Amino acid sequence: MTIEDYLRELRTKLDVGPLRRRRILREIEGHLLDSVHEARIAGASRQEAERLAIERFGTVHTLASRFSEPSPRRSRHLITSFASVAALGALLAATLTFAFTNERRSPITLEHAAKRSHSTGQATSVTWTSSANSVTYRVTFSEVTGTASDPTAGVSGVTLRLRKIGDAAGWFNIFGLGAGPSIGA
Amino acid sequence: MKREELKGHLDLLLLASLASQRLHGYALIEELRRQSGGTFDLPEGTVYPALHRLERAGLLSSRWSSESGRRRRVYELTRSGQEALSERRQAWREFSRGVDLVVQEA
Repeated sequence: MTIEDYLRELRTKLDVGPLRRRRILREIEGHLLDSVHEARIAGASRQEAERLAIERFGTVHTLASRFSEPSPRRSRHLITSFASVAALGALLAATLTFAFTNERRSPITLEHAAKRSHSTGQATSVTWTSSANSVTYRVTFSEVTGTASDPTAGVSGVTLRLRKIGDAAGWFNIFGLGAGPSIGA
Repeated sequence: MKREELKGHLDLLLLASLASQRLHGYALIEELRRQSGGTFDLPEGTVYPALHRLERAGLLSSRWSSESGRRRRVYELTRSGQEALSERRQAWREFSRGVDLVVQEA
């Protein structure tokens, strides 16, 4: 299938208004041409380059149906499901060993906590003074090296255990958040 | 990474990749691949419909640009997009931390 064939078929399958159809087709055509251009530079034949470029868009049928999906409340849905999964995670984590009460989203950091810890595995009290109040956290460190983000955000009365987040630091970097505060050993 | 695993995070990845720059679809896919060290090689057939959906939801805006000869549709975050991004970043942090705490080996 050539790019031309693909676009022609897509035109007939797209169940959207004429303006939107035109935009989608133009946008995809531009992308396909870019892909082909790159693949040609890399040494692919014209035919192979077109095949590869089209493959990444998937079948016309699937692509057309994705564009035809009504947009509505899906984004809000996503936030809600994210939040409930997060809440569930926090709940499960309640069986672990880092106890603290958190009345608000205090920006306590591991770095902050670690400064007051004695050694790995030992329970220790951490006092975090926020502008509004002063809260005492009881912390058990299983590991105090590595990187992590704010361990308290939005979780209240939950028992957790601190540890190195490890690979998650990479994820945070993807989102431009930085690797989080590091903790002194 | 498996397509299914990625599905729920697609919007966040797209919004985050546009956090500090305007990009057209082709560059955005390359950027995600590069920033993730090759983990996220998102197929075009997934990315474009998602970009359009986010735009219709008011989180992105786009316009044609003809830099370097070819006309390309360039996307950027709207103000609501920026707000949605910070909410989702926060949700992601909580989610990933929760999962990490649960699945970690003792």
